[in-house]
Amino acid sequence: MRSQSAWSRFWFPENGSLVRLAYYRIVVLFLALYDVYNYGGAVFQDAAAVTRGVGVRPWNPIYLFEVFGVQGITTPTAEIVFTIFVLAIVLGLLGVFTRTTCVIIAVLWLYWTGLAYSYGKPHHDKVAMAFALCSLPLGPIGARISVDAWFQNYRRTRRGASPLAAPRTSPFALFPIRFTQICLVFGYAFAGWSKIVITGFGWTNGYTLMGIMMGHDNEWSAFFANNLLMCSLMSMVTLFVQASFPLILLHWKLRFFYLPMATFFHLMTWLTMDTGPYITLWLTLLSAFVFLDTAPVRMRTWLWEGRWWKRCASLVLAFVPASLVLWILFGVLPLAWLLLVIPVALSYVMLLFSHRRIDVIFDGHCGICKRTVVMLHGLDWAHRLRFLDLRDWDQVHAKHHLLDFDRCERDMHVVFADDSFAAAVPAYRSIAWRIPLLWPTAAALHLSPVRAIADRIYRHVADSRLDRGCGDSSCSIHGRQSRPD
Amino acid sequence: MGDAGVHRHRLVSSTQATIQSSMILPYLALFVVALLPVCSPLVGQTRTQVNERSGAKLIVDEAGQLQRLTKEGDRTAIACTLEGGPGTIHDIVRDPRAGSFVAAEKGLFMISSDVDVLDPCDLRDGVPRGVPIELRCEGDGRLFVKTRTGFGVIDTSFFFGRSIAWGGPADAYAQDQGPRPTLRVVMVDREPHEPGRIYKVESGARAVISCEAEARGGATYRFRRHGHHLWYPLDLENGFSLPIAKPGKTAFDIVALDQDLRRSPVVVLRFEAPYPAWFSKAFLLGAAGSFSLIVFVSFAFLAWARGGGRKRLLQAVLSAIAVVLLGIQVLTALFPHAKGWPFVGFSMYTEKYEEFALLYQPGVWAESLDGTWFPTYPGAAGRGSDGYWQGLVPLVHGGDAVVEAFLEDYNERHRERPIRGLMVQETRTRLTSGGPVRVAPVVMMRYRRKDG
Repeated sequence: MRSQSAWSRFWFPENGSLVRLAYYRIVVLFLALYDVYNYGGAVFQDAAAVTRGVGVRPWNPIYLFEVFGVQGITTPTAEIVFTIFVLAIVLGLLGVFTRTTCVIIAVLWLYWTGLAYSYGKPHHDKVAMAFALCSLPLGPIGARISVDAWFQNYRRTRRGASPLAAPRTSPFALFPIRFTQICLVFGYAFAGWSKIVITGFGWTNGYTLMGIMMGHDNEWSAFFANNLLMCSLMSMVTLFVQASFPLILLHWKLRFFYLPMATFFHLMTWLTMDTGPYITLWLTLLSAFVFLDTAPVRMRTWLWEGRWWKRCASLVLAFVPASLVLWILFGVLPLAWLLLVIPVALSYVMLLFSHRRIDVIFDGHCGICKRTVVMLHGLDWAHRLRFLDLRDWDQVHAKHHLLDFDRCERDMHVVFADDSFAAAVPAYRSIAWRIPLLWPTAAALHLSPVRAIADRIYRHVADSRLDRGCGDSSCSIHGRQSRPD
Repeated sequence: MGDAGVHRHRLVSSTQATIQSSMILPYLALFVVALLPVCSPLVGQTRTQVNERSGAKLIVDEAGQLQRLTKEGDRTAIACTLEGGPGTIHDIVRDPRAGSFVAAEKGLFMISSDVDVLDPCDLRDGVPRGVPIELRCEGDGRLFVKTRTGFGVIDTSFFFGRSIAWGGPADAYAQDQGPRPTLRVVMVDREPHEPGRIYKVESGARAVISCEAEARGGATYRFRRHGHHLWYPLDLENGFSLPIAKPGKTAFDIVALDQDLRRSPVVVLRFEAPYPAWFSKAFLLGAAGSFSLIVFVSFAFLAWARGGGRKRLLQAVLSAIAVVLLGIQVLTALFPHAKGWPFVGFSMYTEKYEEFALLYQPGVWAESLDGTWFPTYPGAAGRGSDGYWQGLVPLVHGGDAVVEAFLEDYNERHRERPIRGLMVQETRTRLTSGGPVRVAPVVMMRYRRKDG
């Protein structure tokens, strides 16, 4: 029973973070998008050859295709698959019908990659990603940071729940992540053990790495290969990291050793062996092992409250990997996809460089207000908003004693760090400036004509919610005043 | 000889004897003597200098040291990857396809104009034994070698060879006499081969081959796996059989060679070995399904024992999925098969190199109309390939028609910079304690359009 309990704790911990799973989903799907474009050239080339009927590479299907009788495709089919694929990834990133979308993505990705591998030879760089994608739908992947989560929250709110009561944990949240972790551990460990079993420790003689580097010649190969001792030392470190990689599961602090070493290893193989960036492997590795939900906040803490070396480290950690990833991804992806990335990147920068939040005072008895909070809460990727329910007036008043209950009930208020506040449309504008996705709206609200129209609409909605109700079954404004004593 | 850059120490007395004496004859004789080094197939002498493709000269100085003299007059000593150097140099000859060969006391060496180090040739089977003392190379992929104890020919792409019964000087040997070899009969397991037939054999079996061919000096035979580039000896006299180690389809190319290493047309032998029962779809899917069911029932039982409920049942399902998939991954890691993707093995990069190992890196170069060479790749002519040799083997072994088709397709795609020639060569690197040393490349195929 003890082993069963350990098994459950490992795979199904009660405190599995849904936010971490959501970030993980986004990273893996973005990698899938990159990979679709990256392999698109090969797939379309083969499809064109099939269409023309000439110059076709020999079709030597992977076993999965053999079992299901899958054949090569023509260009029109490839275009259809590609379109569906990209559309599915966009929906998956946004979190629309997330689980279904991720099932479609996993199947199409296996199909797309399988096509390329059935005309050529399979490679091992995408194995971890294959398992990551296939295991995604096995967790509650749409429970946070998704349109699905918005709607669920919206519906909960309509039924009277708090707009801030989104679930944070689930015992199934870590399952896809754990699964990928184990696959990665297998990959590294077997790679190390195979070297030891097949060649013994003679693999570290220096000549082997020298030969491997020169055999896959790239810019830095000659520099490292020219030093036999360095080659030997690098072989030893590589072999040690690979063979002992399972230790990473023993204690989370070991990640501070193994993750940088493994990432460094892949980047070095890129520069010395022309393997390509291998990002499908090491970014999957990082996203599976890094605590994506708490890492940005941890870095912000280091940046603002840590010692000087922690500040420097957090700056490097915050920007160097992110810049490298974007550089690699957009070496392949069309720049139009930046439209998806820019709001996220700006939110990330805001999250790191400002820890001052504004308090948004909303009416917890008003359906419209709560649904608005649901939307704003969902877009607050930079963690710049803190929502306070007017109906917890004691708490609100304790923090902001200058506020007046009646005014707060009449208009939505925001309170800034210096205790100044804004209400109605200016409040919304302040909120919009803290959400990069809403920056165009915030800018527009500075224009007088737009401001005038917004004021009229706001006034109408705010007044009519008091007069005519707000469509919320739990709304308690109408017919009942609840001003606290 | 066709090698305009060859000079010799002394002239041959028999040639001199043909010069008549008269008043003007000494001058005429001097004129002829001046011409002889560049136009006469002199025999029995040692060359001390060759012109390289780059315009530089390789010179053996009086101390027996190899030096390079550039067009600008710079003189550099040529090092050698072999410890202690090549020993006394006996002869040096330029290969019109690529670099130069050097016959030295410690064996046969290579150098090319783009490297500054002499490297021993990576000789294979059949090469004539003994210290090479005289060389002859006409740029058709063969090097005739006279050694202290014999004479023979070496294939300069693959470095296998054959001894020839010839006692005269290398330059006097008349090669390629008579028709090219023909591979008349091939027997597979004592049955005559029928073109196109696929032989059913057991996995791990060896197909016993016997061949008959007409070839000058008697035929020798070689084989390679279809689509691969290396030729291996087929030692029929010692009961050689083709190794069909793996289940599935296997094909071999067989050729006969005469004493001058001229090859017969290729005969392709195709074999098919059945997959073992556990490779069948029924078995694999059945076994995987049964295993999954057992695992799931086990987890479901444990969930039930702990009180059941929807959550525990879901955990049991997910646990079963994890165990089954990870179990298959472990199995594949232990018994790798590339086509099992996404379940793969991890035995990549498990090769081991020792000191003085030689690396080969194949590549294809194109010659533009102005005569400059530049690297290209099979995909530039629309040849999709995954792995270089997949695209290069047809160029190396397919003959002129295949190369012509490549040029056509390339030029169709690159009208702005058409090409007229193609070369497949393997750049080579020697691993030494001082680091990797780039040594002379091996040219596998060189082609230029006749009107080019």
